[in-house]
Amino acid sequence: MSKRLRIVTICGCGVGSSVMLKVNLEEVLKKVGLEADIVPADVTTAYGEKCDIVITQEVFKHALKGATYKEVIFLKNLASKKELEEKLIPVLQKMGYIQPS
Amino acid sequence: MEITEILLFIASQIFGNAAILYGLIALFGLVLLRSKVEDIITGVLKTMIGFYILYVGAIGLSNIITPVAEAISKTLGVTGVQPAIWAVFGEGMTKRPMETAMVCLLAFVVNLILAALTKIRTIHITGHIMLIHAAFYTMVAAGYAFQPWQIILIGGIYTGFYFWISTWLIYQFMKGNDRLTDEWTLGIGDSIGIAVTALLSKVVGKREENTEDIKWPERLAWLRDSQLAVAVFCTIIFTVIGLAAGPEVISKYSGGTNWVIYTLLLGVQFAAYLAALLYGVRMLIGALVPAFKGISERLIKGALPGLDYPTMFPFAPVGMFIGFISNLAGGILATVVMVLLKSPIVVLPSIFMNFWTGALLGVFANAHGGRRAAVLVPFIVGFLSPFGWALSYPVSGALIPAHVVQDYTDTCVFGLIYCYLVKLIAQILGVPPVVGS
Repeated sequence: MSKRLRIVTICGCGVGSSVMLKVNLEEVLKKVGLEADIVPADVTTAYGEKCDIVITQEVFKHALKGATYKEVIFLKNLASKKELEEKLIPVLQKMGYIQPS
Repeated sequence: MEITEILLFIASQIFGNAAILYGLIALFGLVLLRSKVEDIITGVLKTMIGFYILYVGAIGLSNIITPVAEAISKTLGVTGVQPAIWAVFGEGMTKRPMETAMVCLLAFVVNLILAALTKIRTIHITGHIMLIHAAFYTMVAAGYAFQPWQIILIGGIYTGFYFWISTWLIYQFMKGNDRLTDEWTLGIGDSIGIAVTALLSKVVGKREENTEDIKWPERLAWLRDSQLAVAVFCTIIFTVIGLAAGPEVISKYSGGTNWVIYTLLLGVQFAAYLAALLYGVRMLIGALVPAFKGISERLIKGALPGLDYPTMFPFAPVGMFIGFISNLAGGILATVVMVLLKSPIVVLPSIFMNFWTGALLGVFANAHGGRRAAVLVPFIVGFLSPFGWALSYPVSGALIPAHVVQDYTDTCVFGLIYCYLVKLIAQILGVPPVVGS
């Protein structure tokens, strides 16, 4: 718990959606008062990545092979902050980073 | 030092230095978003490190395209060009980085102004794709002896207009379709491809047959990795070209490596430098994307953001895969036809953009015309696009020596119009073409 959270966001190239996701993620984390290292990655370089949470889309599921992580969140809509918040908060509570409300 | 000398020093040594310039732009964006001091320092440093990494990737890509293009010209006696948006971007970032940055920023401002003043409130905010367009429009104009400010003005205004109109055009084929969304639009380079796909799909397709009802073999999922796809298909294509060219041509580039081994590894190296370049881009735009997003959200109420390709993939994961394969097949057929017809310019298969454009067109084809459209239409677009790129190549200014073309479907229309527009402006102003391009 004391360790700083590391979250990897994955999209096809690691330059578009995953960077946009990082921006949304920062806003959601700020709301709950958490700080994290957020690393955008692409499906190729996610190989060998170590982190606490992976956030990506179902279509990039295959990229998770070779990555080490504790939790994974699949988003239907990469651009939706609402969906991100709804799926991320329960995961953070389960991992003990925030108190259940 | 006199005041003009000081100004000249600032212009050439500080703003003329790409790494510093991009660092300053990041600084500006981060300050505008009122970031914390430590975030500003890391943001600026990451931007600058990112620039140098992508530089290495860009040089590497160019070093692979050169022997491949020469092998084609030696064996077939024609000009070979590689469609590669990232190589176009690399050319812009290594040869004209200042103009590329300024064209990108001016285009963003022009897009914001147009969205603020008119009823069309769509804004292109996909940072890396904005830079690719800026690089292309900059390099085309750099084929003539324009002053840097003229390149920035011509390129920036046109690119801004393009950002505005293309994001609006794409939205017309997204809204009101239950297999897509109307919550955002796309800021990419394929508005023409999407328009043609949507219209054609309605004609040839049968919308009731959804691609998503097909069971797709899970074992083929690895091909959804565009860089792996590049490694596989580029290895095959470059090997064919290299072996046809023979040892005399190839050994000029292969150094101590055996020429066959060298040829076999070209495709893998191409994918590797692409990965390096993308890694650099990711660091470079990390600070820019929040700024673009924040500024457009704050300044223009109700603006519709133009987002990146993968935001559409969840709407038809099977359709995207069918689209990629059929678009790639169309591209390969176009290359074969160009060789058989002895076209003076032979456009090689794009692979990387067959993946992104093809996948996206697969989603749109399915949304407008179902399964049959997803197979047929991306193939037709994939076959026709290289002919448009071939037309753009001889008028693409400073990109000609690099043997690359920008492989968006929009290059065939918006890009081509711009190439001739720049030529016309140069003629009116009496600006000569730059020798060697």
